[in-house]
Amino acid sequence: MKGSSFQHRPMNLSHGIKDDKNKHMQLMKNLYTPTMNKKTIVLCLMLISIQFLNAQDDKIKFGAYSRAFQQINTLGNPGDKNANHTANGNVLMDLGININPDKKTEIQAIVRFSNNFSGFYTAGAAATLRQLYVKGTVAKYFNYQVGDMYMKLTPYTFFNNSSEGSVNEATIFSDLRRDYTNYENLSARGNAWWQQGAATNFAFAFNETFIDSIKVDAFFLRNRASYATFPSAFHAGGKITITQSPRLKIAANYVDLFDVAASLKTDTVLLYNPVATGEINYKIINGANTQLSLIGEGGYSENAHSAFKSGSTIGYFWDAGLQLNLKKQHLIISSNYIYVAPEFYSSAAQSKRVNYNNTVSNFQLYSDTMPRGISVFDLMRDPGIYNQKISRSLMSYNPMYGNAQPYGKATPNRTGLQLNMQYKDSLEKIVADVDAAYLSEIAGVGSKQYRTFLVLKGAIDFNIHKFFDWKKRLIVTTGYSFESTNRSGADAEKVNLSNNLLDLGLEVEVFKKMSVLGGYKMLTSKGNEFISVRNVYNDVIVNNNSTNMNVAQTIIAFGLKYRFSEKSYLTIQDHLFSYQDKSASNKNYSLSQILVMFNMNF
Amino acid sequence: MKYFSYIPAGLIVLLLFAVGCRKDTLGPSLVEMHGPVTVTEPFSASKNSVDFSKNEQVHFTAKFENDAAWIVTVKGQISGAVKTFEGASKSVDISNSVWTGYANTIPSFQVEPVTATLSFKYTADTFKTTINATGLRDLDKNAVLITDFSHFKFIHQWDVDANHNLIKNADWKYIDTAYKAFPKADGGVYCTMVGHPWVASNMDPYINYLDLTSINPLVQNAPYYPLPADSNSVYFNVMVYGTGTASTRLLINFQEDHITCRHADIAVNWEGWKLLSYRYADLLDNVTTPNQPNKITMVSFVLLSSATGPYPGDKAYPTPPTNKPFEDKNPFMVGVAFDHPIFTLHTPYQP
Repeated sequence: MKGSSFQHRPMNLSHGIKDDKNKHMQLMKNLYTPTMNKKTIVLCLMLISIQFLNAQDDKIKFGAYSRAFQQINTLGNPGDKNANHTANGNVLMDLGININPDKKTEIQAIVRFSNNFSGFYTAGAAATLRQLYVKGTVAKYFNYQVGDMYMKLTPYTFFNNSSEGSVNEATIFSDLRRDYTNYENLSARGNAWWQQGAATNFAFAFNETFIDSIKVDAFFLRNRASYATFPSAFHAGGKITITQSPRLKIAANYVDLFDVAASLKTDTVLLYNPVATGEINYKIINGANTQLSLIGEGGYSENAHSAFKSGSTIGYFWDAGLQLNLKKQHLIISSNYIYVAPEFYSSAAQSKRVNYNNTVSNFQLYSDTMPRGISVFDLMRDPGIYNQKISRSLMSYNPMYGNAQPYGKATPNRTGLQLNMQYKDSLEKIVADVDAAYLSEIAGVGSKQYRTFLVLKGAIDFNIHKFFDWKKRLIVTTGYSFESTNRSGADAEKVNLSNNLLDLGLEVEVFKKMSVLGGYKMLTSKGNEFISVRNVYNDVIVNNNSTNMNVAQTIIAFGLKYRFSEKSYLTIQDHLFSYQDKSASNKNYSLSQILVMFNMNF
Repeated sequence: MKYFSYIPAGLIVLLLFAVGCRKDTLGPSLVEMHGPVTVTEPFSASKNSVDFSKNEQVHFTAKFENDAAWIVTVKGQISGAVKTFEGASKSVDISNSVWTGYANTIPSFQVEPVTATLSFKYTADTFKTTINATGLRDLDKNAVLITDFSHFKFIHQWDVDANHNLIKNADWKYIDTAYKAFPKADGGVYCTMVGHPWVASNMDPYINYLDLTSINPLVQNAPYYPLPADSNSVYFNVMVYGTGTASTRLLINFQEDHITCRHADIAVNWEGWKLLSYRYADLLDNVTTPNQPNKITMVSFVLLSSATGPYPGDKAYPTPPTNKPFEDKNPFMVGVAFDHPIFTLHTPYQP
């Protein structure tokens, strides 16, 4: 048996044909065209979304992710009754056992062995099954996967939106967020949700016909097992992607979260939330250096409940715009208009990655009795506040961390214009990504006036070492976002809130593979906002909870990082966090954290 | 391909349609809420007496001319138990104020007269009505009560006499009277532990402990609490009284098959009663075995002190005044009371 590089592999519905289409199409044409007559439909398999391990003949392979983590936290002002010092840490190994009984079947189990650094011999030690799936190919053409999997469609159908509190944050922060916080929450696969169920995909490729290919993805997931008065719930859906030519691609998506009444003996409220959308990507200009594309998605949702509240609510959305790709200039400019109706509800696209109703894992109280809410520091480092499940109604959010689109692109009750510009030179000396948006509500919430939202966001990486052709890294990362919310009207309904988030980072490779890291993060929020409370049907039932904010949060961090390889490193970091409430000084507190993290993939 | 040139034009038309499409206001009007409240239908309860033991329920009604931010507070005249309903609407009705007998938190309601008060967030007006709670909801239904300290059949056998009663000379006490600012948690007796560490040292935090076992001395074939195996669906709940002493710690250990496997380490730094609920899967692990609530054989309460010594003496098991257990001002003396340890399924205990 040989070792192999091990990682969680997603069954990612969205990136198959889109990313690798040309390569696969060419491969298939090369394979089949010489023996085919014109207009013969060729049925072939596109192994797109399953990434196999390095080809090896062995039937059993092992890979592992290992991490040693020690965190020492100190609270600046705990009061007389609370501890001001906590330390926790553990060493763990996620052992991936990959079994290939035959060439078409793969079974993978990831078993976690962990041991806490805080007890007697073996106290806190555990061995648990973290992930298990079977996948393979049936009848040469159909891929399948059963068990645990990562799933993603479009931002309006099935999408795990990124968490708040970062805009191109420093390596010293992003390492911790990615390899600890997100990894522990099984949300380290971009915008995919970790799910359990079954999925399949297959594709038809057509030779010299009007259509190049059709790809079909389908899934059936378990959202909830039945218990007490709650019925079983499932999430089913799929995507059909038709590639007409290199210029035109259209797709249809359908997802449905639904309860199964028969799973309970008693009557209860049943949810039925189908979402159907259509996508288009049409290259109006398809030159070698210039491409202009029309990109759009539109569709509807239904939010239906039985029992206490019968009937359903239909909501529509449109998101359409143009994308200009100037290859010589290394520039991509896009502009799109969105309209997401107040009634639009798509559970798997609007569930939040952070559950703002959770309590923080460390120092729940400070100054004796003051409950400590979720800070920008906790967003980065506390796996306990994160959500792993698709919610059945709109989750709560904190306007301080994002008020314009708290549920991502699918945020209901928003319309307006969005702009984006991306720049990346060929050597990636400078990588820039700039966003702007001007949005407004479609329906006033508790008011006949509409909120308006202005969003400006910029992220630039300066790979300075590439300017001078240095072998050692010298990287400066910057990110800034500004968001303002305004609503005019009577005093009782006025809203004026401004949020700023600044991220700065520095990485200096002082010795070979040894870097000094620095990071700075500052979040300010000033003004007032009303926080709506919704019931399980997403109706606004309370909207008079006015909150005044005048808060500044800062994190200063520095540390060392030694890279054993691209995927393995040891880092020692010190983080100093301060929370200042300028309207109530008794709410101020500070936190510090020293951590040692050793990550290894092998 | 020429057909595709119509697609951009079609989309632009749709977008223009979308731009002009505004909708009605969502939720109650903020301006109306901040204005005066005119009650058009008086505040009342749907019935004068309610027997929650028969699954009856009661709701409240009132109507206002405009949207109002209202609060209905239901308070037991004997227990002091409180249940509140809040809303912002033109009416209080069955959709937003159904009371099924539960309280917000402990204490729970008793069989007692109950006063319901309608008040408003932005005006000082109040309206009251009275109803009688003639029967109580079985709060322990579908749950596994370890003990409410009124019947000691589940307490470890060497602490139980032949009549299922607590052996009175044990070092921990059960209290059947209430003290000032110290009402009963579930309405009945509760258990207390008071003292300082056993030895004059800062090395040993242990003060006292109590084992509650599933092995009923009279029912030998009941080795486990009747719980499911899924640790995500089991909650452990207990009512704990804190004295506000920062150094008070309560350790709750759970034995599975007679081995201490999980624990909750609680800094009891509050004053008064508090209902604590823990999902069994979230308890801290002592051993490597998977959480198995269906194998729980014993729950232990251990009183600890995190205060550093030297302590005033090395007297083990200090006996507090029986009628004033928490009034010793010795800074090293810590105490807790606890009551109604209970396992619930799927959701935390609802008092």
